Amino acid sequence: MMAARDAREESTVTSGPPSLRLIGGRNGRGMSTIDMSIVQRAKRGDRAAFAALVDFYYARSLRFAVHMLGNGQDAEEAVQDTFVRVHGALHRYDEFDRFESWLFRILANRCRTMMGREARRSRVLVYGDLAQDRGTPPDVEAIVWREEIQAALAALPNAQREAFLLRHVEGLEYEEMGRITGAGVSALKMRVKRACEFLRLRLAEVERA
Amino acid sequence: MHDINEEGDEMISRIVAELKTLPPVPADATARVLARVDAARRSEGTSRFGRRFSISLPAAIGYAVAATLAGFLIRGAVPRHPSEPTPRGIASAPVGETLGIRTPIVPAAANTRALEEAPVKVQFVLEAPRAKSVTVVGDFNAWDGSRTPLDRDSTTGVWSALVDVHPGRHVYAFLVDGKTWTLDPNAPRTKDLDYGTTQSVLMVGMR
Repeated sequence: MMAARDAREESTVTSGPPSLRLIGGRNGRGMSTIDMSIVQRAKRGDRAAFAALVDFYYARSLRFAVHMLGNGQDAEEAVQDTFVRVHGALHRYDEFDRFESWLFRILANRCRTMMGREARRSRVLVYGDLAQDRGTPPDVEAIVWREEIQAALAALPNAQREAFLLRHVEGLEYEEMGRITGAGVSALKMRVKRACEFLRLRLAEVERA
Repeated sequence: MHDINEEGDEMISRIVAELKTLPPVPADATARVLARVDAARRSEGTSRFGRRFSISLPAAIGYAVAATLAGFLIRGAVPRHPSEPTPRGIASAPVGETLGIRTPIVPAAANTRALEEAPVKVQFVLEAPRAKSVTVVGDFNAWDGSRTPLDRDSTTGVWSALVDVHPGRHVYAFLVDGKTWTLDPNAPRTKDLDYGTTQSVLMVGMR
């Protein structure tokens, strides 16, 4: 397994000169957001700024893709494709739209496309690939809990899983989710509600077992 | 509509807390994105060129000869004397010639087109004794950081690889430890107009 860097809010770009240091802020729901000047620089063709965007959002994008696709390899591919598409479309990015929403719209579309492909294969759960401290003994209970959560998430209809992740894990507002998914706010609230009900029921059973 | 469990549901909170764990990101993730972006741009550039120009065979031969001469001039790669020392790090060498600059070996070809297309073995060299890995990325390998790793000489710390490159002008860079964009210290450089980044230039000529 190749070396991995930790996801972080503070990021230093080392993939091309010149180095760029950036510190993100947080939106109202506690999620990291990026300094818009970085986005503007990337839009003007600044390679280092674009690299900073990728650095900043890669881990979150990968997390969303892993949860949506349930397969680390597909998730990596989806995220890589997404950033290449983001680069190609940056000149069309409207700065009145929040960058994060725009990015997740492209990412969610990419995941949906890949889910069609994935449906032809068995779903391979990869939570074992995710963040684990390899230096400490495995917490079996924690691993089982993670796997149960992933299994429950995988059992959700795609639209419910997407809405749940965008709302509760990515911390987006319903209006933003509407722009990402193309669904109305009421429909999205219903999807989140049903997803919560399903997950609560399913995992309560696991705990009782 | 009441938004169920926005807060206050312990079970959902525990699930969300687990799902918020960020996955590890491969060290070369950003470099791979940039390499793919570069490859896409070059691909677009090539197709635009192809649409814009229709070059006759005599003109193509003329351009090829001019490019070859320009390449030798830029690199100073025309050997003035067989015993002339070799500039280190310049990416050029025929098969079997380590760090030597000679006229690249081009397989015999029946026509000019074949001559233009025949790949030439080029040796890429970088002195980086403290590096854990070195790869070369360029327009000849789609800027793919995983495709062309260099081998390390354990005694000198010099990394090298032989790569098939088609005749013509190429741009490239080394990727050290999967993330650090490193120019060839001994090759000419050019600035990418779109990104402002700098790349090393390689001219591969033909007989």
